[in-house]
This record gives sequence, C-alpha cells and structure tokens, in this order.
Amino acid sequence: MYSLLGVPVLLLLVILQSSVVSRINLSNGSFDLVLISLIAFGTQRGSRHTVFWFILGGFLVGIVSVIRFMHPIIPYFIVGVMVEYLKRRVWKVPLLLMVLLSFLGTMVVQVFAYLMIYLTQVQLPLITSFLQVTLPSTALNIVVGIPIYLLVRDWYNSYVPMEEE
Amino acid sequence: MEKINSRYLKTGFVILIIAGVLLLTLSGYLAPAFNTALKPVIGAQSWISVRYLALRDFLTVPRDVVSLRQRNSELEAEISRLQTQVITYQQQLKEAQVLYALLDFARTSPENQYIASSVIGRDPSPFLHYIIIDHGSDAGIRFGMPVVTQNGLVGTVDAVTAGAARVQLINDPSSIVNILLENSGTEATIAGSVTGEIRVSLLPQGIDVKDGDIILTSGLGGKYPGNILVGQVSSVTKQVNSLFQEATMQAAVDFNNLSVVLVIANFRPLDIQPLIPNP
Repeated sequence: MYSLLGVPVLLLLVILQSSVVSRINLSNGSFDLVLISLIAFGTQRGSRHTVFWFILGGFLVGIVSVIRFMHPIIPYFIVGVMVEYLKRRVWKVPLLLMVLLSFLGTMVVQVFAYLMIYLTQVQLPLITSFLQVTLPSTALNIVVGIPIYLLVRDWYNSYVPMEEE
Repeated sequence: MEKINSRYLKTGFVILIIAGVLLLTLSGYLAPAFNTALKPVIGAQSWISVRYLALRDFLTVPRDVVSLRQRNSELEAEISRLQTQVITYQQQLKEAQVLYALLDFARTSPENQYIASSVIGRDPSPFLHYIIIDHGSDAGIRFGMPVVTQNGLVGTVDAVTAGAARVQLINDPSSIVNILLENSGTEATIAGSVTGEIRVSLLPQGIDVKDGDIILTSGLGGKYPGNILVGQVSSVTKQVNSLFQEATMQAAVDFNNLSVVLVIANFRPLDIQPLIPNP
C-alpha cells in the first residue's frame, strides 16, 4: 500500500518544500522537508527500498531546483545508502539514529549543493555559507526532524502492518 | 287562560331574577360571594395546571436538549463557515490591495506591457535566491524578461516552462545588475550574496556616496531597462588604498514577502556576448 502512496506523498512533499517550507528560515538556512521525511521513513523498522525512494526524492527535488538537473540525486543516493547502513547498527535507538542521520544527511546534501554551485555557477564564500546556511539548516533539520519522525512512524505503523498481514 | 297567565308570570319572575343578579353583579355587590365561591375552583385549577406543566416539561425537556444540541452544532458549523469566509475575504482584500498597487505602478509606466503573476514557490536550496511564478511561455513570458513590483526591481526570468517560470532575484549570489546612483549620476554594479545581502561595487573613489542615495537600473548591458528603482545605499565603506569604494544597499523590494510580481513583457534583453572580444 505504501509503495503506491509513496510517489504522490513524495510529490506533495516537494510541492510543500518549494511553496511553504522554503519560506520558513532560520538565519539563511531552511528546513529540508523531503530529506528529513525520507530519513524518517528509512529509519522505520522493516522499511523497504529505501535507496530507491531517496533516488526518487532527489530526482523530484532536481526538477524544481536551480542546482543542475539530476545532481540532487547523488547526495540523496548517498544519504539513502547511509540510512540503510546505519539502520542495521543503531536500530535499537531509532530516535538517536534519526538525529544522527538528520545531521549527517543535511551535511552531505548541503556540502554537495555548495560544491555544485561553487563549480558551476558562482564562488560562494565558504565560512559565510557554512555559518549562515549550513549550520542553521542542520539545526532546523535536527529539531523539526523529531516530530516528523514521530508522524512518519505513526503513518507507517498504521499502513504497513495491514499490508503485511 | 289561567295556565297562560301562570307561564308568563314564571317567565317574568325568572327574567326579573336574572336581571336582578346581573344588576347586583354589575354593581359589584356579588363580587365577595363570587370570590369566595371561585377560590377553591381557582386553587384546584392552579394545582392541576402546575402539575400538568411540570409533567409536560419533564416529558419534553430531553427532546429539547437534543434539538438544542443539534441547533448548537448547526450554529457552530455556521460560525466556522463564516470565519473561513472572513479569512478568505481578508486574503482577497490583501491580494486586491497588492494588485491595485501594481496597477498604479503599471499606469505610471504605460510604455511597458506587464504580465502579473503570483509567486508560487522558491528554490529548495538555501544557497540560492530564486522564486517560481505561475505564468510561463503560454502567457508570453520569455527568458531574460525583467521582473518588478510596485516597489522596484525583483530580478529576471531565468527559466520558463509552459505554465510557470523561474525568476532569479537580484540578491542571488550569481546576480549582477548595472546600476546608477541617482544623486551623483555614477554608474556601478550590484551583486547578491548567499546571505541575501546586496553589495554595491565598482564605485569610483572620487564620488561622494551617502547613506540613503537612490539606486536605479542603468540599462547598461541590455539586461534590464533603465531607471527602475532598485533600492537605497545603506552603508559605505571607503578604503584609501583601494581602487573603488564599496557599499551595501537596502533593496526596495522585500524578497521574503513577495506574493505578486509584474513581468515586463515588451522588454527583450540584449545578448552582447558576441560583441565581447575573445582574449
């Protein structure tokens, strides 16, 4: 069931990211709803095809982003692999895993975005970018990631057991 | 004959008695007697009436509670509907005010053709400053068209699809605009940054730049039309050993609260790239 719901839900998340969440800022950083929702989904016990959903999420973000098309797929893929890898090791404390992955995932996506913009568009100042954009974004993602995790867990538990019974 | 006389006498007697009683009643002489006679009747009637009403209330109140609850929920639903309507009207009023302001602005420059568009999104990357508007090539929007509001310059159309367009704001790190300082008539450039701050550069050392100086587009380079308000100088940095002065500026447009913008549809940016000699 959730496999069918996944695509429209991801689309809705990308639309919300572009139209609503991007307007809510902490300093110059913003919350990455798609990434955090995917991490929250990936950390659920028994979630399947995590890396595929991350690739799809990266693809959809790439459509609306100025960062060259297809490039968000790479950091999202890396985060997806990280989720799969770390889930097997820290699965007993899912909330800690969520916080850890929110931090690492945001860093990977932001560093990759910085590098892409630096190499293809404009040379952004490193320290300012880190202090004004990356750190606030990471803080936002970690803080807002916890309620998102709880929401996704409730949603996941209400659909997936019915599916597997 | 005697029988007839006796009947008349009886009838007359009865009429006399009735008339007498009526007279006594009308004159008030029988009131105490009536009151005394009616007291137990009234008492009994009151007793029955009170009990009847109490019984009726007892039997009908539960039905009233149900109907009251139903009515209450209906009224609550009505209140929520009206509150939603009020919010919608407030939103529409706000939009109308913005549109009136844009219309006023458009009337001040009748030589330009404008396409009004709503801002429907922003770029997900916090490093970049782009917005997405709800009109595209189907509405006549083309790459490079300048975008303004009633307050001033917003940016330029960076990418177009059939139904939407992406606009690069002037505070984007890769945006550069040729400007003119209105007071001194000096030309310079402004560039955005990752924090959204806009810096004025290439200001010659010799000129006098003050806080609050008005900044307009110069039209140089053919990317923007001239004389569009961009903002005001907010602080100036003058270094003796530097070739140019530097300044920061306050944009006339609040980029965080953009809701409706105007695309200047009859302006075609010039591609001067072929005119720049290759080294």
